[in-house]
Amino acid sequence: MMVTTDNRDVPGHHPIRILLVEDNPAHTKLILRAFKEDRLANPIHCVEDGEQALDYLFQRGNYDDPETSPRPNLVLLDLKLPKVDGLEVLTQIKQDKDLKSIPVVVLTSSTNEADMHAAYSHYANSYLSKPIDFAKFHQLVQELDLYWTIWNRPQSLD
Amino acid sequence: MRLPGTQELRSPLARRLVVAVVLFSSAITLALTAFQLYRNYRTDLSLIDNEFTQIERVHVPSITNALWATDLNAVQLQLDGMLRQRDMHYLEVREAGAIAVTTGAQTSGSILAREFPLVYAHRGQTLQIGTLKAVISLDGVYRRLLGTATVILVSNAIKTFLVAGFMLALFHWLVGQHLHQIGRYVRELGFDRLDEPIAIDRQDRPGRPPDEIDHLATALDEMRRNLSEQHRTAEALRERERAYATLLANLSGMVYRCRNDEAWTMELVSDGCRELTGYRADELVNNSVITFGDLVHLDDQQPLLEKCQANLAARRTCSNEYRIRAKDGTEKWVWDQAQGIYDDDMLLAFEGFISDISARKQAEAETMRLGRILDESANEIYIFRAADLRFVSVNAGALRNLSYSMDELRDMTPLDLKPKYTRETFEQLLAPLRRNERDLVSFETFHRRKDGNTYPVEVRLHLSHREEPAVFVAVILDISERKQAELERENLLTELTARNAEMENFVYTISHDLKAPLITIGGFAGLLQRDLARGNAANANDSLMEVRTAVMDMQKLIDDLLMLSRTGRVVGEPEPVALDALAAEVVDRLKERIETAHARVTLAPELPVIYADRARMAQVFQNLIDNALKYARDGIDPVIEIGSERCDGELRIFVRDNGRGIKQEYHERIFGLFQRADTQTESTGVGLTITRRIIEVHGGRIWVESESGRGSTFWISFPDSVSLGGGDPLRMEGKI
Repeated sequence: MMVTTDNRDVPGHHPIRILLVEDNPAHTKLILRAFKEDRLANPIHCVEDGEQALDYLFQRGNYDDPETSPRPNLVLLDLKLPKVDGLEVLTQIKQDKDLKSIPVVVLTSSTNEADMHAAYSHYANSYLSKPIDFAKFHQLVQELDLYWTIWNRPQSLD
Repeated sequence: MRLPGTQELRSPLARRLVVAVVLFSSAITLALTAFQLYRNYRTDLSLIDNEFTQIERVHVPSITNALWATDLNAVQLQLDGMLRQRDMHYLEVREAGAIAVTTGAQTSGSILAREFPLVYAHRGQTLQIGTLKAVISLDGVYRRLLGTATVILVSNAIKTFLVAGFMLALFHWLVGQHLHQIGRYVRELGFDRLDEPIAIDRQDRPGRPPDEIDHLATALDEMRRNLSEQHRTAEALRERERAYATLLANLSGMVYRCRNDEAWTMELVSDGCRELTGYRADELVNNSVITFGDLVHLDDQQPLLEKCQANLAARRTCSNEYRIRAKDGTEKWVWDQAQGIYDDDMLLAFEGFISDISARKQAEAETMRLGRILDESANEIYIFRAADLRFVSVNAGALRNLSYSMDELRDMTPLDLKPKYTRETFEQLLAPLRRNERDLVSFETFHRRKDGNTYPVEVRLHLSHREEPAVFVAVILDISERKQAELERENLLTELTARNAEMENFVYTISHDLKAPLITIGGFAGLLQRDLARGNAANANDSLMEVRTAVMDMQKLIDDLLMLSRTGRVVGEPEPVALDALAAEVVDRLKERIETAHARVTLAPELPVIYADRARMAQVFQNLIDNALKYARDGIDPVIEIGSERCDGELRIFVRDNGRGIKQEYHERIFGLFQRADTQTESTGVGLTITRRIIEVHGGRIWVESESGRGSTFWISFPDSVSLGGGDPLRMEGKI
């Protein structure tokens, strides 16, 4: 599913692309509504399990076309996923030389410290626990946006 | 040659010999002399006779003529001439009776006279003209005889003395000195010098045949040797006698000779009697104070007597063990071995030896008691030789447990009982004992009974060097119960650990999965507020719907969780369950859904009967059929097949579908709590978890065989024993 929110407030700006990995459809809907509420126009691609996430990231299977399945600039990753576990997805991202630079924000309903520790030890860039504080989430997205705008512009121009 | 001493010369034997020789020689000399004299005498007489003859022939005619011629002178001349003849003493011629002529003198000594008639033949006429008388004196004859006798006697006497002297010396040289030597040797021969052989100083030429002295010496030497031998024998005998005396005196026991009578009258007892019975030997001998029979314990008297009589009558050695009462009243066990003394077939007495065996008897009793206790012990005790490991002895407990006989075991070694050990590994175990590095080796292993069953044992091994030959002693505990308990404890522990982990996982999963709808509710509640504030009714409605769905999800989740938690608790008693009937029942219950899904369910005609919790098994079928319907392939009517087969001693039941199938990597994961194959189906991810749980508490396993897109087969296996009609009913152990 591709959701594009428009970002007319920032002209000439290329908003960062987000891959949302979330198996709970209600949660997906909630996150997308939150983006919408905050008028964030980032293109968001949603997948519902770890297998799809990896297929998308490695551009294989149903996602082998780079045009329709471009590399995201941010991965929002739920830890508890069907088929392939979130931590496994995180590990594979961080082990791949092309993908490891993509920031991964772990989304989880767990407040378990062990989960947080596991996520960080697998090089998660950030950790957000549900329910998501949308103000904080907004800030995070905007900071990332800025980060990519400033540092990755030449890359994105390629 | 040694000069004989005076002592030796004064040999009476030699003297007697010499006297005898002298006497005998003298007698012979005398006899010979007498004979010689007699012959000389006869010769002289015959000479005289000849003279007379000659006178008659020669002189008588001339004298006759002369006388005839009366020539007296001539006659005288004639007579004188005749007188000169030897021994002629007197001659006379008588004429007419008157003496005509004489010569010589008349003598009164011994004479021999003869008268010759002087006959003259004259003219043919014979005329006696006178007589001639001739007298010959015998004195000469006698004188000569005397002379001859003297010469012979003197010469013989001299010869005899010389011979006697020579003989004396010769005797001494040949015999006397050796006899003296022998005498001296024999005189000096004592028991202490019996080893010195006789030595005779003889100058021998070699090859001289042995003479009497030699024989005597040889005989003496032989006698000495015999004596020596006898002496030695006697000495040895004396020594033995002394040794026997010492032995008897020091013997811890009593040697006796006993008359064959009812009182056991002792004829002879050794000093050991005192120590054994408390009585002195003389008090017992001839029953002077007490009879031996009285010492024997009352209960033992009759059997002892009977056994002795029987044995001794059959000329067998008789040995007995019985009790006696000593002088101080103590009771002693004694061992008595006796042998009969017979006169022809008559048993006169018996001789034997009695010793105190009280200590041995007591030890024996204790040993027997210990042996009995050990033998009856429930512990197994094995004794096997150190050399070849073969069993020597095994207690009754072991025989009972193994069901081997002792005879069978004697040809066996511990290796035949211990399937886990080889000779080599077993020897490694024994090595520290053999090297004396350790007194005891204990280990756990299995023993195999005769029927092949094994049971766990704890073995304690000890090497007994004191036994000859050395043996190993093994005390063995059947630790089946302990092992069983250990196993149970381990199982319990494993289960507890698993349960704990599961519980942890459960709590974690619940916290996550229960949170999810809460988050949804919370999130949409927040959005609802904004929607309401903005008056966006459509969005508000959508948010409310999401909240409701989340609440319903949560409701279902909680219901499933409750179901899962109940699965782990005891519910119904196990009972025989006919699976075909049960499956049919479940299919009937799901009829509506099956029809909705256009599905077809086929049941194999003969599903087994198992021993299980009926309601739970129904749930298993329901979950599996439910699953198959849920994960049907799009556009294809589900076909579900339920059947069973027997494989590898297991009873297997399968539920096969033609649905989407499951990738290999998810085959295990799908049984985990809240694990779903995908997000599209309405499932909480609890059903298979519950199913697995039910199967496991029935002692079975569940797994899936599947490939993505090719349908799935869920397999449930039970040990054969669960199947009724085959083996024992399943032991539920109260876990359902």
